[in-house]
Amino acid sequence: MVFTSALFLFLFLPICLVVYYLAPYKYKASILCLSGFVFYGMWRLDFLVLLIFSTLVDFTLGQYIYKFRNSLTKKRFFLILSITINLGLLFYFKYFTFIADNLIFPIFGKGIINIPEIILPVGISFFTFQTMSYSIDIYRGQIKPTNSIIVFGSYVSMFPQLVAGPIVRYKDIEDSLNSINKIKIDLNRGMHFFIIGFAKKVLIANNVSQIVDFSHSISTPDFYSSLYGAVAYSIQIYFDFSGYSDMAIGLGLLLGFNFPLNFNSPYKASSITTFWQRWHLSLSTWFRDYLYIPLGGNRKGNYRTFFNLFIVMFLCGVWHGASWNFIVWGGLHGFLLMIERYFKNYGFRFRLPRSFGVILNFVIVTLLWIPFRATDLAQTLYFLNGFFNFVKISDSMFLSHFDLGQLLLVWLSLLLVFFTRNSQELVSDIGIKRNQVIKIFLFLVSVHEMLSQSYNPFLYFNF
Amino acid sequence: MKKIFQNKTFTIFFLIILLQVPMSILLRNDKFKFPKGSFNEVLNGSYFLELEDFLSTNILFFNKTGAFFRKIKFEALHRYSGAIILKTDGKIFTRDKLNDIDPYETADINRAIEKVSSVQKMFEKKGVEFIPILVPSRETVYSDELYGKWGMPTRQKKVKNEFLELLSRKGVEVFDLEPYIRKWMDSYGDQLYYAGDHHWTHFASFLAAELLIDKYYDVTDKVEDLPYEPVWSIKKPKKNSLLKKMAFFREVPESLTYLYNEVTFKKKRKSNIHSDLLFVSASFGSFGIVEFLSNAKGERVAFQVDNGQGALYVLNRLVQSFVLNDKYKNVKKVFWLFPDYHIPILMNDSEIPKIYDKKDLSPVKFKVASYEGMNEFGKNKFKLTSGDAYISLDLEEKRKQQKLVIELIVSGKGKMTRLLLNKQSKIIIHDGESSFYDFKTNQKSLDFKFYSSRWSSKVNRTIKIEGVYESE
Repeated sequence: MVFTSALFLFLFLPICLVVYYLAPYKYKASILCLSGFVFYGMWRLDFLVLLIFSTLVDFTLGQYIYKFRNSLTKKRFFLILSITINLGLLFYFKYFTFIADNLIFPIFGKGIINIPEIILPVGISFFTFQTMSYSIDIYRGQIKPTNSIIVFGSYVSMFPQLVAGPIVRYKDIEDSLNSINKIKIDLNRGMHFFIIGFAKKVLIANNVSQIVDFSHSISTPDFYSSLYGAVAYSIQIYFDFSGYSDMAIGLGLLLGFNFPLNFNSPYKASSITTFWQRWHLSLSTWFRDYLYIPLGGNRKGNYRTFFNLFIVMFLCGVWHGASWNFIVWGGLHGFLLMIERYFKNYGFRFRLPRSFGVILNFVIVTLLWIPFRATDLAQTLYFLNGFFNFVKISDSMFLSHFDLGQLLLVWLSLLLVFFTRNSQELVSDIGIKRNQVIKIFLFLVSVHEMLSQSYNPFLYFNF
Repeated sequence: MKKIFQNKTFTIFFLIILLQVPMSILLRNDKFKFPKGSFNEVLNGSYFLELEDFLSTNILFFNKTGAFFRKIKFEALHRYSGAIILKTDGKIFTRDKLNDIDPYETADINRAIEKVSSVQKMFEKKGVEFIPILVPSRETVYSDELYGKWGMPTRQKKVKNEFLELLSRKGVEVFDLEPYIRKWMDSYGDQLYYAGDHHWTHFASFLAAELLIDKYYDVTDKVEDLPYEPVWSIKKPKKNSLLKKMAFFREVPESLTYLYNEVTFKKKRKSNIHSDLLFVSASFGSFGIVEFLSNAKGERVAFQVDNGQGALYVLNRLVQSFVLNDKYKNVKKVFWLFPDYHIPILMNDSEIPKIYDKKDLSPVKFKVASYEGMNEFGKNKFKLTSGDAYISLDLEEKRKQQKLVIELIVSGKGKMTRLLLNKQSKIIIHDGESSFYDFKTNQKSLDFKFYSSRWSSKVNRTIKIEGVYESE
């Protein structure tokens, strides 16, 4: 189920909130857990089994890791078992076909194995990373496992963040989950986060997506189609994903949970390094804490740091999907991070105006989104080729396809990105009555827009 | 709970989302009935898609204010557009200038009528009865609900009447389904059109099937007792297939297939009255045509295009099949169903189906080496084989326009495709739907790939063409 659907908005959410608010404290965790399962089951009931399996496995192994906390060998065994199962699930559902196509079949021939058609369970990358962080944190002694399967189930399946993040660590919401009678429901902030995220997705991301889709399907891309397509995709993915994250954070607050922020004006970053300190924070900090630092971080010399940066970004690319496109995207980001670190470590310092850095960074990030969006590398090159195909405005098939208003929306959205405050800053205005009225109005407009649009799932549902 | 609703803004927000469904139930009574789902539908998630469709179209408050919102959106996004429209004759107009051109001029209507009547004559020569059937679009039937006071322009109705009247004068009688659809709307509570898809529901298809069979065939037994369960226009998808994954099955226009299955079902029921009848659907533009044409064996062939967008292409295909191939020699009746919103398109010269005759074909030979396709139904559904393509090349006419138009006509199993070669040696393929694809070529050897984003970005087809040769 998608947050921006009538089913969620008018049926699931109100029922869920009413039941949750009316229920005695001792049942709240069970309601959370159950609502998460219903939410997931409405996509595919049969895949709910997978979510329950993952929950049970990590709950049990978490208990064992803690039980044998004084025996390094034993607790390590159970940790490895937990990671193997989680990554095994991820590998099978997400990467098996890709590995077979690119590694097994070329070497051993097509007849060697028979691969079934594998459906990617929605949110698998998110909930497996979440449960892995739980096991690793217990192993490290940073958290105590919960003794309640209901509490753990509600942590894994909490519907606001179940299918597309943010990747919440157990320690972030441990206190709220274990003492649910003391949780503070923050209606004001929750509702405002939700409305802002909803509007971002429905009013902006969905509308610019038409431009993106058309520019990627046009047979002869020209300068305008590539320019608009690239910029519009930067807009789309930001407003889509940050919109989803805002809604998730908002729903979390309505239920009494504080989820970590996922975005902090990433396009206002003036370098790739700072971009990754602002974009998809829950994933980048996950990789930092569970991969980059264990690999040695920046403590083992320059070359090792470069390698660590590269490998983390490479795997970050792979996390997004089994495709050469994502590998190239992640690899290029890793390469740029290495370059920046190289300049920093060896004392090269350019004193560029910050605004120049922001623009340059946006251009680079936008170009790197092209392989991320394209279906394969050939299409990426094809799309890039369009930048060099200069045609008259009057000859552009792309421009003739869209109304001026639709094209202006791209640039207007860009202005919003650079010159307005981000969601968390906007939410701080909630004390002002005028802003509350504006947000209710925004919500009504967004619902109208949602109802007039066709099914438009969030981009990160694919990952 | 009390504390929660002390927050007024939240209370408003909460009431907006909470009250929609109960309000709609209370105020619309019998019209607001939740769809009933089977266990299997719940299991595979299709029930929730149905529920989503239902809710998104039946929420009363937003329904009432929807037209106003759409008007505002139109004003904001489209009204002041300076976007350029590329007309198919190669000339460029700005939208403002285009607005000065009346698309419904009598001359345009006459041109469309000439084409339709010439198609009819062509069928007449073959001894075939050509029956055009006008299908009202969802927008026509539900114009009040969809558009409110900004509803369908009355001019469109005028055009339709003029079109039908002039056709009638030419001796072409069109069977207009609109009065029947309106009658069904009043007689039955069931929905006749999908909410998020402009096709008929299977119920409407069932009614249309009944009507057409009753009207045009001597049906002695009753068909009312037949169930009108949804049917699949293709094989039921396997559990993990792409179809299932994308829940396409809901989008498959059962209407056409229903008619087809209705007929074949009858055949199995021994009545045998329709054993020589075959319906050909084209609901996915040319996709469906190929699939069904390949099965055409009956004596009489009824070509059915529901209220989708494939009407023009099926007519094209029909003409080509009859003229080029002399296929379906025993056919006695041909139905051509076209939606009313296609009337203005029929007036557009470039979109009007052309009538081909072998003598009109250019001596240019065009050889298709291979055509491998993949669509949402699976791989290689449409395969063009070597040597079964011809080309129509009107050099004189097109040179005047500084471009060379090549019509590639593929007979038998295959897909009609239009290739357009201009001065820059680009080839544009019009795939029979809304997209154009163009490719650079050296004119001797072509190898290109194109993508269709219609259903999935991964859908792709590859056509390899071995040379374009101009013979003496």
